Amino acid sequence: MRYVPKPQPAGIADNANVSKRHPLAELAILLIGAFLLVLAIYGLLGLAVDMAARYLPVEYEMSLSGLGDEMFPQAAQDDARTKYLSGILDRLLSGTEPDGRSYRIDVLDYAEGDTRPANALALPGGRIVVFCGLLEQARSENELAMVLGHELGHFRNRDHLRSLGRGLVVTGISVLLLGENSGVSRFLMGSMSIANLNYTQLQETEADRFGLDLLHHSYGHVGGATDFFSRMATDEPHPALNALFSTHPLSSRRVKALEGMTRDRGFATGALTALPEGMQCKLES
Amino acid sequence: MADLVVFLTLLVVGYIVGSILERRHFRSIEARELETIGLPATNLEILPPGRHENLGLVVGSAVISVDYFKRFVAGLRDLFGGRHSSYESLIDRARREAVLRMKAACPPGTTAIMNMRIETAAVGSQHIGRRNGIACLEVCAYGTAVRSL
Repeated sequence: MRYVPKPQPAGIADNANVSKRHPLAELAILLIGAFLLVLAIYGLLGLAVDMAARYLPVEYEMSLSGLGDEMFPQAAQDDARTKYLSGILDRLLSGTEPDGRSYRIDVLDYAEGDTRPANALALPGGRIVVFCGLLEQARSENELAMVLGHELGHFRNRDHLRSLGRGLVVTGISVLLLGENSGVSRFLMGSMSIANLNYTQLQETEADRFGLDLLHHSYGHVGGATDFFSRMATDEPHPALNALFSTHPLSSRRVKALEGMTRDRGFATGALTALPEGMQCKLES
Repeated sequence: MADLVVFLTLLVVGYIVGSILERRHFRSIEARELETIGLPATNLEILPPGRHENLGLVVGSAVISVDYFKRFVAGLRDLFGGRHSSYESLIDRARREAVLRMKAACPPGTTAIMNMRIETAAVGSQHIGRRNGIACLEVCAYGTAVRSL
């Protein structure tokens, strides 16, 4: 038998045992695939969360009511501002069917060096946290009633539960893929906390609609409904950018939507109810 | 954030260094294969006619580790299945390196290697409790060196 030496063809290009695809192309294809996979999981679990939020009994939600206590400590209920806001809330609630939640208002004052956001948020179990900045900036009771009505709309549509559930889904996916101790997971766990309940623009609009109806029912007119948002609109530095990246509808667009709703429903505007004295923020010790 | 920076650095460094080393290794393999082309390594079990001297067992083994980039790509590939193309070049290198080392281990006067076998083993990747053990591949080539008289 004669042995005829034959060299292997040189270079990877002619190597039968090595794929021709460039490693970076392989990485790109796989990354796109993984991204689509995560997106699909998020979408499906998100739908499941929406379903669950719709049918979750109120008693279960009440058992979650301690969730925000650490970040937003419970405030004294004998505070004059809290009593005043609770009065408005009761007036609004008298226009709705009882839903089993016992609502409670916490006015949060500020500590040294804090900013004073003009904002309010809905926490599971019927807690409405009102930052004192909102009271300071408000010009009328109707304006405050609109904000509270808006938060009641979130409760009624269970937006806060949906948002909480979606946050859990995102954190869960991250822990599954990257592990509990990864920086991304820890960042998500922090940012998906109760402080950052995000709502979609549609949810905000629905809550606005609910608030507007309540305002009309309780006060007989919708005067002051847009005041809070018009004031915010003048504060927004980059309207176009905000509209793209923010989950909240742009304040100016919100005002237009509210005015549209007012026209469609034939609501009238009337005289505003003045605010009582003593709405200023207090420095927390 | 720091994790992300470390991860991306490892990925980029792994890719750059890994590709340079791989290209260099392939060049070296091709050169040495040409040099040793006169020494056939065959898997024949029956000697050709004629008189031969048995020079004994020759073994060549190569252990090649995977770089961070290849491991990451392979991890993603595990999600979908399909060809693990990032490991293919690794295994090709290890196999050819092992055969070359086996040839280098031949005693002087060897004219052929008969009944060659190639075996592989995963090294260091199966520590209990270590999910991300470094994937390391050993390829072992062995055969019988003979000298035609």
